[in-house]
Amino acid sequence: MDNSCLELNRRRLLKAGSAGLLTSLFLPLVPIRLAAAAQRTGRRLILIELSGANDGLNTIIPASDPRYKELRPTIGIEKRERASLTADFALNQAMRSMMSGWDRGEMAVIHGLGYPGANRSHFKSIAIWETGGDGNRAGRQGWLTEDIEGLIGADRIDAHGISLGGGMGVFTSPSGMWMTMTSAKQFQNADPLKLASNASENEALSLLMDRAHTLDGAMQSVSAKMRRTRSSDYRINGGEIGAQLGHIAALIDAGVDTPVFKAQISGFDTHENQTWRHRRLLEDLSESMSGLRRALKRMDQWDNTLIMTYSEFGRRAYENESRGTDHGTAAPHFLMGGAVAGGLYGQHPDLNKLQDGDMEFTMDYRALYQAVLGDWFAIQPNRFSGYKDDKLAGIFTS
Amino acid sequence: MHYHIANRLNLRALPGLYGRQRLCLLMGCVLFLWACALASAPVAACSTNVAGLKCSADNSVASAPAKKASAKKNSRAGSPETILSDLLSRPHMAAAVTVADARHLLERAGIGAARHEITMLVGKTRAEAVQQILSGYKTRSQNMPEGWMLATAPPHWANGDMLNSERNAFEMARDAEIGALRTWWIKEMISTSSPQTERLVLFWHNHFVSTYDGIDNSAVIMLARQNMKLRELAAGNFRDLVKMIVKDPAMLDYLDNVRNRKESPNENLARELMELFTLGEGQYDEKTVKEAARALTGFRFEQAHDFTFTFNDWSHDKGRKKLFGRTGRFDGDDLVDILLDQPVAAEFIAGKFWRYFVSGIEDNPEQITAIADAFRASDYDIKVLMGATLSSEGFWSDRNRATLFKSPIDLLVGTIRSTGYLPKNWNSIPATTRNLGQQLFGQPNVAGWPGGASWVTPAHLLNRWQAVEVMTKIQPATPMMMLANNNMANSMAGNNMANNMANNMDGSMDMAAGRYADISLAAENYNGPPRWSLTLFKDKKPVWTSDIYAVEGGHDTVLFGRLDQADMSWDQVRLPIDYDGPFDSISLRFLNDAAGTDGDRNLFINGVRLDGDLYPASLGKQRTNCGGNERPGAMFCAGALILSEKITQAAPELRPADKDDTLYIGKVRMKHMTEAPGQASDRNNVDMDIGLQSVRFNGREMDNVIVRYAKRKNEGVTLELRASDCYPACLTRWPSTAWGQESRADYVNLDLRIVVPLNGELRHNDHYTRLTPEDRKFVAALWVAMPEFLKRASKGRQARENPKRMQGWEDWADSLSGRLAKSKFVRTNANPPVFEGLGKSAGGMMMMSGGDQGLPFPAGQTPLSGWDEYHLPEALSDTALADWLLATQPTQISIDDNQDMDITMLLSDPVFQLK
Repeated sequence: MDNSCLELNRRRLLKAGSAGLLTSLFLPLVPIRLAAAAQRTGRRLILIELSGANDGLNTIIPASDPRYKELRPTIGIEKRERASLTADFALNQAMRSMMSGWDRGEMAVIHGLGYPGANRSHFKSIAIWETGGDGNRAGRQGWLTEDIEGLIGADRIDAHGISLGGGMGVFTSPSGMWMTMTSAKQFQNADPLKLASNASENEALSLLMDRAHTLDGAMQSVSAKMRRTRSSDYRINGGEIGAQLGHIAALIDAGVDTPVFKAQISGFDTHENQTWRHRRLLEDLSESMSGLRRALKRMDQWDNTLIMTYSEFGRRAYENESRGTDHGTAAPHFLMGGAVAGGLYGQHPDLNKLQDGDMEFTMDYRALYQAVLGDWFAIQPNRFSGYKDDKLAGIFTS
Repeated sequence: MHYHIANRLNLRALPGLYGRQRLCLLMGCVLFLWACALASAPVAACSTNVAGLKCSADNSVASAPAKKASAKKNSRAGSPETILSDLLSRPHMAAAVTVADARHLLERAGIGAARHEITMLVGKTRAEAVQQILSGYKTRSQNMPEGWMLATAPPHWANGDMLNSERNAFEMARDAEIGALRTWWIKEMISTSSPQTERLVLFWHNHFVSTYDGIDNSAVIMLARQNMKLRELAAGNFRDLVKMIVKDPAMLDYLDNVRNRKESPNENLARELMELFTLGEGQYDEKTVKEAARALTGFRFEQAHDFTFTFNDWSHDKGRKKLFGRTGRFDGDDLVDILLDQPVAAEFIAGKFWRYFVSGIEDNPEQITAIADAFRASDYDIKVLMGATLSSEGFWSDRNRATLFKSPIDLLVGTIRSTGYLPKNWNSIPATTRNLGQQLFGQPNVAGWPGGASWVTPAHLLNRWQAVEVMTKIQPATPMMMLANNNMANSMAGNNMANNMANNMDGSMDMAAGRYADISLAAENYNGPPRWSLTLFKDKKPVWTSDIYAVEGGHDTVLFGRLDQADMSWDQVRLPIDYDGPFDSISLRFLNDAAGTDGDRNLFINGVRLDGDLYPASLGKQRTNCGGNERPGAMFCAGALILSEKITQAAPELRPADKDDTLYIGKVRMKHMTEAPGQASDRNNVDMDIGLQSVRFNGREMDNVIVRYAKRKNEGVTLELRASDCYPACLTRWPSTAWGQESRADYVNLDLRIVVPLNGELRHNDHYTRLTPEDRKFVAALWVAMPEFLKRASKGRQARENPKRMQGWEDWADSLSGRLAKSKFVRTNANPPVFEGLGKSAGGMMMMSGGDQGLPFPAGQTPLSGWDEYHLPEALSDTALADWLLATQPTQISIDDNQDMDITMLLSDPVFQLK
């Protein structure tokens, strides 16, 4: 089934190629690209969006900096609520379940990620992060869609990306197999489109039919795999994010072939009474991430998996008068995986040199994208080659 | 908590009338002016007496000055009429229109193609058919805008001093409004007799993108106003349209021009103005972006002054700019003129029209250039652009039929219009189009929905088929659907301005007699919809309980995932209550909570109206199994929402006459305060802004007055008023000394400021002496009331968060009391202020008035009550059914037998996804 629909697409590609002189004046009418230049590595990326903007200073605490207590007199994380990472930095104790990943050198923290011209609107800034833009313009496509669509070899693939939660912004693409699922079992009850094959002279119609066939193939393949699998329910703690990561574990276990997954945990917009809300969010996040880690280890999929967090921006260094924090700029993010070289990367923003109460970013977040595309997926060059940063060298063990 | 809705409404947002505020003392004015506007009469001529109260409106239309540059360069220009008639007289336009041609023209230029619309065009020449489309454009919606869309902006400026509970209520009201706005527009698209107008509004909505998520403070009224302005100019002149948009508050906010100042320019608007609005990528360099951004500095809007556009002279960069070979002290209007002088502008827009109206598959460069030439020659007349597009050879060519992917709006609204089949759950269309990737006022970014093949990405493809299928299976709405169990109410009585009027005039409730509860609710479904029941309590004992009902039209969380509250589709249901006795609270129970790893079932309640009283959910108390952190009305777990606080909609009460020289104030807000004098390191320059809501003084009424009390190095203790901080106006006449600059006719300059010192020797003294006697009394009253204002403000959020500062200012006020009594600026015998409170419905805490809740049956056709009622018109019954609904031959079914063909099979054919 898969092969035949891939076959269709390859033919489609050729056809579009030959007629391309006339038709390629404008996008987005391009077929799904499944043929590609770069070789596939079999690796996958799991993106976790921390929606609402996570407070970096209370996630990774600059423990040895006396400025921290001045900035956070009431909501600062006390010593007994910290889990020490290094002499200078500690993890919020709420994330203690991640410590075994840290101890085994499978967790990296990248300090001070941000971009020039910081935008403080949730909507605009997440659009910037998801499309690889900056303060002077957001991009129009997901930051990895083009490179990932170009990546796949002749292998079987079910989808380029599957989102289990939140928006599809990071998967925005006029082409490609970027899907959204509300559960791992969703397609099992879905009726296939069952369209009679049709070779039409009408290009719009044949593109539509091809896509329908491809989608049908993917759905059938996914649900067939899900039917064969031992257990389609992975119980992973952590509330809603745990459920999403559980679906992802189930899909991976079933052999669903997808280079990118996306999940979302929301509620990080902690303007008021931050302490207990933030603690619960970090608990959910870390329990679900470590739960996923355990599950993937058991199925021997941990070494080719990379988990990465991202968020629209960080929060202000100064706490506000409501025991919360307002919209800020730079923030740290996590990478986790069997092939991650654990440790702290980059430089923490200087708390003595705040810009209007905000931390200045020390690394353009697109350097991280470069590392993911260039080093993890081995796509060289890629859309962010220009942002390569040596401070991230060696962040993957192989 | 008494509040009467027919209180007062400021009428400034009527499309075409924006530019200067005007006051209407009765809602009737809205209805009346709207009726005038629909009748296309000049608005000024509509001045008249309604219910004994004078309504007036001036007729200055903001778009008038746009012509200044257009006249100068029309060497090759013709009148739009001659250009159009040349275009339409081309030989291929003489051909007779077939059913398929008519469907093609209607579906592309409008939304869907109804049988009667097709019938009207068949047999005419193509030129006549296109002419008919072009002459049908309107500048007003067919359905009246909802009350809140025409009202003054809610007090967003007061947000900073609102307590948590107030803020929640305020935000819920805005979320309800964006939902209402989406539904209102969908309704207009379905029921309008001018679908070509809505097609163009939708086009411009996606050309000049501004989104709900992308503007600050959920200021949804800016989007409603933008939508009305787009409709007014949709088929007018493109130059007017662009000049409108660079002054449109929603756009200025969305593209950050509010942050574009001389000292720190922001390029966002400038860049998109060129890249997306006029020229296209690659037609300018980065230096030009910077220069263009300088020209746009100072284009902003005023929060407290009802979001009026203002040109801020102080933050405008008055220097010379170099733009496309010209140098001058250009501003934003000049910039637009310069951009439209670039020949590529017409080409860019014509190309976009081609891809939107003619072909999604291939460009025809010669024909696009010809369209652009006509557009340019008419000096950007959009009807000419449309006419040139619809009369191009490409438009009528067989080759370009079925080459556009239907947008989700085409798919849902178009199908309703084409068939006359209005499904019962039509009000879930905004949520469905969102799931399919087309959320109104919710484009993914400033470039808008990419359209084309992006509508049929894998994430949406399956759901597109399902959406059509579900629609064909849901029961149709019928005009007779009233009462009994759980039907969509025909109106949410009293929550509707038209009804209010009727009620107030003839004193009776609308429709049938009996007691009803009108309930506004929404649902997320999981293995079925939520079920609910309503109980009336008296002295904590249940006195009446309803049956159990299920919510209809809920959102399927298994198929589509969870919803944000702003995306809910609110349903109004009318529940008959066969109980005549008294009650003191209403309890709504959510009975069947359920959730799984793949979905969630939740119930959302906006409010209940009973006996003419409104019980907003935001004022209720909620007990659920979730623990109670949710907002009242959002029921994520089984439990009860208990409503006892109400807003009474009494007949206008007879208020005792106001006392002379007395300030009447609804609510005091501390908008801003620096450290107090005596606390600050810079003791010579400290101030606080006190905001007053709902102010009356000697017969004048004001929504907002923000007054600044300051200690200045030069002036000493002062009171300062700025024109932009008051709405509609704080003074009857501004002293000429307060005018910062010449006011330009097309810019509202609100940066007038007067400074009144407490001791009268200093240089700004002349401001005071030039005030009218009436305004002097007002200023005196503001001085006298200052200590009292502070006392009131001490309960607000600012005071709680900054107790030290607050104490400092209160101490300062005490220390001034002696001087206040003696100052010559204060000596007028002003009375102490009277604080009345707002009533919880005022101050933007409630979505003020819902619209007409009637069903949006498509104009001009009999609604279908079943698919078997779809028949072709007698005279054309021998034509192929497929031609009426599909853009080309179906792929999945044979079309041999016209008579027995099942219409729903045609709707599920892949070809139905195209137009």
